[in-house]
Amino acid sequence: MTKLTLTKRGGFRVAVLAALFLLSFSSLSAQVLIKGKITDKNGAGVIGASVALQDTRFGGFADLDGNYSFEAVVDPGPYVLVVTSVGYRTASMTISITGNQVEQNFQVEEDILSLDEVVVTGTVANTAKRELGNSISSLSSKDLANANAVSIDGALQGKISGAQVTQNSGNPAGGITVRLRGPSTIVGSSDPLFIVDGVIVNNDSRQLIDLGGYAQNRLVDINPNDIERIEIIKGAAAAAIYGSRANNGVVQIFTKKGTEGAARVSFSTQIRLNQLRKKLPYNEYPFAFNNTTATDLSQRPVERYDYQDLIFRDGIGTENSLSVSGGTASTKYYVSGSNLYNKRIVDGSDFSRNSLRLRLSQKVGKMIKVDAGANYVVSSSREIPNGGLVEAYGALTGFIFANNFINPEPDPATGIYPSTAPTNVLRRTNPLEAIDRFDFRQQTNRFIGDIQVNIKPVLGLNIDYVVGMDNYTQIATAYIPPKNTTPSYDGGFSRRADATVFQINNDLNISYRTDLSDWLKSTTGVGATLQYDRTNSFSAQAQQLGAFGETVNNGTVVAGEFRSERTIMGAFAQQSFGIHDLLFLTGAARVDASSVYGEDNRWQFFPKVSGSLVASNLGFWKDSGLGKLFPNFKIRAAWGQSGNLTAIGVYDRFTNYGPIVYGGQTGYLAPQQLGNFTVVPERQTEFEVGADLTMLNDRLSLEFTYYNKDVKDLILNRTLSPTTGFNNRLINVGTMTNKGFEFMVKAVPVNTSQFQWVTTFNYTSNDNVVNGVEGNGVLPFAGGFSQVAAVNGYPLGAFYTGFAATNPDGTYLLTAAGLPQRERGVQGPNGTYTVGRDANGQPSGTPLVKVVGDPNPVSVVAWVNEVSINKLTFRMQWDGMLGFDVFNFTKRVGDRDLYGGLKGYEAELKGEVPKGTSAALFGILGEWIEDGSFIKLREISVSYDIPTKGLLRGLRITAAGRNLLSIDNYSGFDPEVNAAGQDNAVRGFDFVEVPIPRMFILGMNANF
Amino acid sequence: MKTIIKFLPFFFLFLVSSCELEYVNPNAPSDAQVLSTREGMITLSIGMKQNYSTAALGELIYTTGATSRELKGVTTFTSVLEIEAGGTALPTFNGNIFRLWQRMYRVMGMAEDLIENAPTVLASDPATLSGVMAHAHLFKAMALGGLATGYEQFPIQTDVSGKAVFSPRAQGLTEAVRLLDAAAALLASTPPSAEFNTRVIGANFDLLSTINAYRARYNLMLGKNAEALAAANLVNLNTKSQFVYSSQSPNPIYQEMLVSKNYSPRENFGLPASLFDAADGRLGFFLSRPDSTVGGKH
Repeated sequence: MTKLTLTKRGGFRVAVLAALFLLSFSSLSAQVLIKGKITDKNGAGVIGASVALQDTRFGGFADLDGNYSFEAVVDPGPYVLVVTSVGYRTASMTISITGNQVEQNFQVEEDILSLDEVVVTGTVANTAKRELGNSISSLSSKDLANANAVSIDGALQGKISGAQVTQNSGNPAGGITVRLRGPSTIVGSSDPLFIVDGVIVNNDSRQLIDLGGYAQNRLVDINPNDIERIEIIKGAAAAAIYGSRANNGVVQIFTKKGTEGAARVSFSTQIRLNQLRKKLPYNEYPFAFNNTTATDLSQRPVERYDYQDLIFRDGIGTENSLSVSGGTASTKYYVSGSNLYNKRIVDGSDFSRNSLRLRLSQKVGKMIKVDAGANYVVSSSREIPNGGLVEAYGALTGFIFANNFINPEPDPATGIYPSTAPTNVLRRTNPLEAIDRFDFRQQTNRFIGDIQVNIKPVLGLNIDYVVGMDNYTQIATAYIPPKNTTPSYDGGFSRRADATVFQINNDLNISYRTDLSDWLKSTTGVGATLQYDRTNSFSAQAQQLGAFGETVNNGTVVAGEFRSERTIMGAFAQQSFGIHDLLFLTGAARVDASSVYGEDNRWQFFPKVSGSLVASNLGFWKDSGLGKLFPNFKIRAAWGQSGNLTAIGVYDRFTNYGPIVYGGQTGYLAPQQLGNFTVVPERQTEFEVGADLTMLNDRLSLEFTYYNKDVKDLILNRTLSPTTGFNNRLINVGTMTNKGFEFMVKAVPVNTSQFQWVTTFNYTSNDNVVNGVEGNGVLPFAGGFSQVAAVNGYPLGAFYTGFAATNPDGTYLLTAAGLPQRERGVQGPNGTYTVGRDANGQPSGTPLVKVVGDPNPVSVVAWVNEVSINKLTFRMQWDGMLGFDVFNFTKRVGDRDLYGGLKGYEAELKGEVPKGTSAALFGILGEWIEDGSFIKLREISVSYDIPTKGLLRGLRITAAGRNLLSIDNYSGFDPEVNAAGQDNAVRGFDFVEVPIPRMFILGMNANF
Repeated sequence: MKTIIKFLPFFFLFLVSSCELEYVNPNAPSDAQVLSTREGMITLSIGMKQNYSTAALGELIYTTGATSRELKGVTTFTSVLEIEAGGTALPTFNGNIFRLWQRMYRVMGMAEDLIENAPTVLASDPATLSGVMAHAHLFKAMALGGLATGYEQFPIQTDVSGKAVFSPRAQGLTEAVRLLDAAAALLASTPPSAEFNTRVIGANFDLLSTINAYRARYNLMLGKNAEALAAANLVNLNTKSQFVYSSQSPNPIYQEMLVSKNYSPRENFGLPASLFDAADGRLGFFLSRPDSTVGGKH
């Protein structure tokens, strides 16, 4: 604590001296008014463009018509006036200041290829992207405008290279996983650090009630329409100054701000239609076997029902938002309110979000600017549980485990729902009963606020202090009325669970930029952070309820509670040099501590170095033909380390005894997990090298990067030999690597004032490998029914299970009864095995397991096209994941004799395969792995700007679609799915999760 | 400048919010608290009893019950299918086989912690020490007996470093009998304290008779019929010992037969009709009639 205080006081002392110094200078200078107009190629004013008098601290912004004016107190002489604006190339002009007024107009060019982009993430001060030694991705509100995604992370799909963004569930409240350059932990989370306006925002996926594996991730609370800009850095090489939380990269989001001028009002409204994109082919064969005896082929006539027609519906949604922004030179504001309501495609479920946001910026004196932001959100949903990784009461679980020859409709006389499951063997909920009678809800009330103070005491010195707070309460309730068809809650079930999360981060960053000589620029930065978070969760649950009343007090209550607190603190220093505008070098170091780890392992040190060479600024380059061929050419390399202080739970280092009540007495139980005070944070070392260049007279830009991320001290939940008295222990034993390649090409094939076509292609290839798993080299995950594992030498989450015995020609080696069977033999470590055969050529030995599939895509691709012809804008985005597997548990169940609701079972009923084949295949899990490769028409939209007059500044109507088409060979609903929700290790698991709907959107946007 | 100074206090207001790096876990005690205190010894005894009666006992009844063909697996979970198939179709890594092993050693680990720490922690309270030690000896013996029911070889002592040494089944049972003999001797020399009896033993549990009943059972399993008979004769037939169950500590048989429904009793508990006693009390105990069909068979 003392250390931080001293640093800051030192900083202020410098500030005081510098301010006095400046004051003494200004007395010699005269006041001059500098003004003009900034227009684009069509003559329209560029709103909000920033104008600065180089090497002074004077400048201003363009107003609604593109006019700017500011006063400067400077000596007469020549000066350079620089215009910068997001989305436009930087323009500069030398002016001569003589009298008391100078007028200078500018026409700026659109920066379609983002060549002059300025970024802040991973650097200490605003830095031109071309000076960076690491790759960085950025997006503007324009890129997200027609995505029509409900959440920010959903809108990122296909937009950036190096990212795999998966929507795990078709519920519109999300369930989205973002992976930047692959996963980087096994027991922790591989989610990037999300920062919104300086606030570290919580993105937990809390399962307060069991919805089958699906969970909302809390980024869904933030309205994507409020976003101005997003910057993304993907690993340690760029993110080392975020230290302990940077292993998975950083996504920094900036929301919209007010601009100088009269109030601008923007209103938008949308109507959406959600539909099931693809139905599973279901069993239509009008006969069923009388029994399961293999030799008895007798059948009886039955009527088959298509349950999907009864479960899915078309869901209508609306979204309305209103924003007002404006301001003066010293005060700026942005206020917005929005309402989203979306019915889901599963009958009886919906999601709504009401959000208010305020952003204020106030200049205090000449040096200080204070910004404050406040965002209040209420997210509500009505849920129908589906999936069934733990609980099996879900609607779609009931659908897949049903005999589809049972009419699921309730008895017209009694209103009682029939059990649709094969009785006495496996009881599952009648899906219509789940939809009609269950009442599951979630509600989140959230406040996110920030206060930022920016002080510029002297030219080049920048002091930023940010306090960010994120506070929410998520409440979930579940009710299943008594006397029902569920497998385990015939007496009824009621649950309420709450989580109250509070996070605060304090960040102080000081940077000083100066020209040490005419060829050497220097930027020095120091910073400190202090972060604290607290989670209090509570749950109460009751079974054996009375006939009426949904709350837990209608039964005997069992309650649970968990409280946790955590502090993370750190400090960093960074130094960059720019040499002759050619070579840029940066070095940085960060120290970090987290209360999660034992005292001896608490403090960690993370260094980074990076460099870039802008070859196109070399004299010979400019003079030779190279300059014509590649007007911009930069090569870059970066190396850095970061950590994952958050990989283990807050109290996981202790051996925690569990409280129980037995016979009216409180007791304590030895835990399954043995504590470990010696566990250290996981550490990632990343190296990346790449190049950024432009061709064809700046009409085409290309960025490519090769990276290698090595994680050592990977924490594994080591399975202990039970003879230790414990089951498991967290221990640093593993390693993980992600090697990959990413590139992005952006081109402007046509660019006239009437017709513009911008096309972007990005490609990412990642190869993940886990090593260091002890024992037999296999660590199965319970979240994937233990059929998913970390296996040495294979990617995280490999499908690891039994497989079919085959003949040399690849056909099934059948049993004497003519049925497929599991391979047998001798099992070795790391998924190896030797096949065994007995005298009859039949499999012998123990049933074998191996890696049968990999849910991690070999490559992620996207292709975005935007064409504007006069007032018409057309946009189309295709993106996809190639070379990955999906574990189709849905089909495995639906194709089986006992349930047999899917088409795959018909072959057995028709006698095309021996009776019992489906049951035999059901037992060979490796047979249910399918290639999931897909390319989707993710976004398509057409907008028209209606010419307006007077008060109405702009009116745009849009028709759009999302997820309209998928090109794939997958037999299930959709290969983009994960029943295990946002689980870090279990991916690509299809077990009756709600499929992603296709969405049609009609919208209107008016600006006043 | 003045403005900067005005903002100064605001900076530090937030910075002092917390610099704490050592938080105490408010949710549960650590081993350091439990194994070094008198309350820890008593409450861990309660926890061990709860864990044996709700978790370990259930696994012993239905896993070994199914492999010995008294019960049958009726669901389609792979592990249950494998148990039901038995023989070579039952791999070593079957989840239920693993769980039986794991749960017995969890109980054994707690019993050993009590046996190791109680003499020091409860040195000044011999009556409570006697109860805690005898009780821990009984539960370790039951864990060993449970292992002897399911496995041919097993370690008779846990080892936190993971290097436990395997012993043959007979040696395990011999150790169980030794522990039970020691438990009976402890009770004979120092009767447990009233507090121990109230808090740990509770109503409807006769510790000495339970110890003697298990002495009889394990001696019988070892073929030591005379010792078994002698121990059986020491059991007080006028008392009844039972575990108590509640919704928080549910009866594992209730859970299995009525909630999870993975197993069901086999017709006549797998006995030929000629050997089956129609008045077998276990039928009512299992709360279910064996009317499930698996693979076309009852």
